[in-house]
Amino acid sequence: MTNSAGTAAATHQSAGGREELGITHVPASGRAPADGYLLQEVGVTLPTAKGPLSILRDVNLHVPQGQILGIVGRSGTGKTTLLRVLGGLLRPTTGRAMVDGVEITGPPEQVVTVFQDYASALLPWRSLERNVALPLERRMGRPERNERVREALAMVGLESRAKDYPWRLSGGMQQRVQIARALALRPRVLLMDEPFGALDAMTKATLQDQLLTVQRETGATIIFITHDIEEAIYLGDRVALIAGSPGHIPLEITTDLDRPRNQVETRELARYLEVRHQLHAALAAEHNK
Amino acid sequence: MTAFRNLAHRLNLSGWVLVVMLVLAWQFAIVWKIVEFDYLPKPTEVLHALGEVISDGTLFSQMGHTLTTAAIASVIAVALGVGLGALMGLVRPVANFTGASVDFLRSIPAVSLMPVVLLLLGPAVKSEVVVGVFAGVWPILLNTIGGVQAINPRLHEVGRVLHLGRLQRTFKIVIPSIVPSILVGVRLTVVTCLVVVIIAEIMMNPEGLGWALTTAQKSLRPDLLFAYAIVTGVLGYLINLILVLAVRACMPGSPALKGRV
Repeated sequence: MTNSAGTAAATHQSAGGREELGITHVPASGRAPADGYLLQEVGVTLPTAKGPLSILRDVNLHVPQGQILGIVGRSGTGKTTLLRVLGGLLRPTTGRAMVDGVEITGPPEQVVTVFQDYASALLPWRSLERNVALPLERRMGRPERNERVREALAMVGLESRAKDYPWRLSGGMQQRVQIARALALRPRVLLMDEPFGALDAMTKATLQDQLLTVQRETGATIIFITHDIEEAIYLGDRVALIAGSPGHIPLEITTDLDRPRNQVETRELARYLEVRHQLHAALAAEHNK
Repeated sequence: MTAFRNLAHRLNLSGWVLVVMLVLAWQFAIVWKIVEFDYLPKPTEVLHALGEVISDGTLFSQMGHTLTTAAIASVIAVALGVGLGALMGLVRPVANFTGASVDFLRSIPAVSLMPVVLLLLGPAVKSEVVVGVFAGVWPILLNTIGGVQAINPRLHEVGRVLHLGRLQRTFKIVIPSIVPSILVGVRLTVVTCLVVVIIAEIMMNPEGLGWALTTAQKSLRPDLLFAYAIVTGVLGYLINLILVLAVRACMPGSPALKGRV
């Protein structure tokens, strides 16, 4: 699959009228905005036992500060690799990845990644408050640190469990602790790798709404990965579809749904269903290619 | 009554019943001449000999020597093992460079080194310490390496994305992660050092419990010989018990350290 195939998919979508559908196409190159994320022609090739394997190819992406972007795709399309590039855990093999106009060479200051496997991302020997305090130690004095920890735990509704240990908590609570730990740093960008993937539907809905509230209060950019199209639309200002092997982004849709969102009403809106339809169609088209 | 039950459970009284039965069987096997050896003492004679060395103070001076030597060897072995193990676990070139040597040295029994050490250093405490360290360093080394390698790679990434420096990652993530493995290694190392130091005293240095054992044997005092042998067994058991309790006190509630004493 080549870049022209990806462009063809986007062109196919635009036949229905790009303006009304809210489809945006990212410029392949051009001026680098000083604000937010910019990926230009990013490709990642990793060495494997069978020789080099191309994971991502020609990925272009612009995420302005404060936006919520959901990235959806099947497994094996390089979703996690893309997030690792954004988080500075992996250097792109080709192309450029920048945040606020600066090339990403390691985990950028002001950017925090939240991992999918919350159980192995928390330190089992530290209580909740000390897990949340981990990134703040050395950065500030005790009174300020305690205040920030309290505030971060309150944002995810866990202030009453501050002294407890992670392994005594349910999965949903553990993931909230990881989110609180990220929030304690007051990041400008939150990167999340299938943050609610391992949770049951009800816990998932609660955490989705909690995340939207936190975003409203902090104004952080949130880029999250999911295999759940509904989740991507419900949370996102914009949804990017990643497909193929090597992965690329054939389609981006601006959701145009009002905030605050509502688990029942938002999901019944005509626009919501329209975006959902387009994404499913595009996903099927990419899969059958 | 419940208090008594709890205490009984903690002391594992039912386990002691077997010990008492075995000692009684030993006593009556000799009294009733079911077994006949020239030099097999009755438990009562062993007890008497034990009382003798306790009251004249020789037991405690010999025990003091052995325990001090084993403690010195353990401390050195643990320091070496944790330091080298952390390096080998964290820095790949160090592991590649030392791997073959470690595998080779580890398979040399400490006992077979004793004649060499005796020739080089003479019958002295330092010879005991050297072979003690040689034998005791492996459990702690291997446990430390294993502990470092078993750290979930995710935790290293967590340290990076939370913007911790290399030093902070080492002290806040790596070291706490390997503490349980190190504690297991320390237990094995201390017990190994004790055993090897006693053997070293039998083979090389005329001091301590090991020397007392051979002397009792050579002077045809089987009662004393058994007394000393039992003392070494009890020492090993008590040291293990103390270490397990110390680990529990250090890490309350840690899910990594369950099980009975």
